[in-house]
Amino acid sequence: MTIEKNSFLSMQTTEELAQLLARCALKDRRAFESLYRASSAQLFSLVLRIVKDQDLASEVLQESYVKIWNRAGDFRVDLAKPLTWMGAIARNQAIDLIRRSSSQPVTASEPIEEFNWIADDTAGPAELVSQGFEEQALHNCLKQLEGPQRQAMLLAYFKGMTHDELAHHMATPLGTVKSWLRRGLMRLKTCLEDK
Amino acid sequence: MRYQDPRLTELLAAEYALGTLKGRARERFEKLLQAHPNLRRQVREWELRLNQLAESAPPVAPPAAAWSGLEQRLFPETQRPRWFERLNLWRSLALGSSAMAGLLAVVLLVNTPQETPGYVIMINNTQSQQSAWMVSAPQDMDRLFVKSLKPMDLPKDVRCLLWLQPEGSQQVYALGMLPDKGDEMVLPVARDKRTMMPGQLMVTVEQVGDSMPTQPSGPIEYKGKWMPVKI
Repeated sequence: MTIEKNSFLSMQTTEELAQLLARCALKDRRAFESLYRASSAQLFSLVLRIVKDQDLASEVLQESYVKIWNRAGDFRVDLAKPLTWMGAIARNQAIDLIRRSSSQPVTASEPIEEFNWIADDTAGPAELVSQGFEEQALHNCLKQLEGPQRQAMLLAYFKGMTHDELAHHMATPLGTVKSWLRRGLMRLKTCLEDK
Repeated sequence: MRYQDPRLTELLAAEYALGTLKGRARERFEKLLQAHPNLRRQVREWELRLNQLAESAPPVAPPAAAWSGLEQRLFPETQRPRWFERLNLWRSLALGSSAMAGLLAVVLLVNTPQETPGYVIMINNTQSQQSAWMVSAPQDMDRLFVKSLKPMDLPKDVRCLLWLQPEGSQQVYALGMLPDKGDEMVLPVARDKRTMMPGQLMVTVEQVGDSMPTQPSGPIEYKGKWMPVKI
């Protein structure tokens, strides 16, 4: 009989998360708790950026993990990385919430976040190694986009902004914002497919 | 239909995954998704592409209440802690071992909203008689709730191992490794050992790897006997 160690923080490799998800599919509650400990700070960061209010974000986080628990059996390790899969669930949940309460305005007075940690060239070899290959490819492709295209896309992704909100926030006509996004997304796809 | 234009569907899938589709457009698109597997595949591909960004955001720890709220939603039946899991019981018992017997009775009486039979054991140092762990178990002994009462400073690779010697038997059976840093944990008990549980629990301190050996190879340094409690 062995005992699970308490080092939840070190349980962050993709394989370990995938294993925990597999055990969650068998309704293993301890695995679920480990999964939560290992991933909730990453998901909460995503949700909080979109929802902003701490209590609402906590609510969304809980709803997300309820879905993760119920759908763990749908996770396919050959199709997605665990954190990518869980991140999609949490983001959809957060976006649904702000879209439902459609009147959550993004104020123009809010400082524009620069997302420096995305296009950060100062990341040392250690950080690069710790990133997966796909993630590196995504970062490289994002860096190749024009500034406003990248900015619009990251604001939409991390802040959950709509076209109107982006236009307002970036003080740019709606049509321009739409075409930034459209072109940005298509270039991103082409770039990723070339990698 | 316009939705059959692949460039358009690709773009809608991308914007849906990105989250920029709003209101009616979002609802319309969600209806389409149900009917078109191809569209679902495109959305999934975009979600995978974009959500790699999820890992790059600096992590933010959620409030502790999020976990308890989540537990309550998913496993409401476990919400009322059973008596042997109640923290103040542990705290009171951790005060010291000399006054233990009297204290135990008092604490158990204080914490008595319902009657639940169970067992409790103090595992004491064989020399100093000081208590090092407290173990409790529900009546069916399917698991042990173990609390380390005093942090131990052990070298790496050295672990405290818990053994069972059933009453009237010379055999010793392995139960598991104990926490040694003042924390608590639940140790599941294999089915065949549950009925042997009345008897003596013993602890050896040994240098081991990650797995529990089947027999002790060091001297017994701590031991204790079960006492039934009914509250």
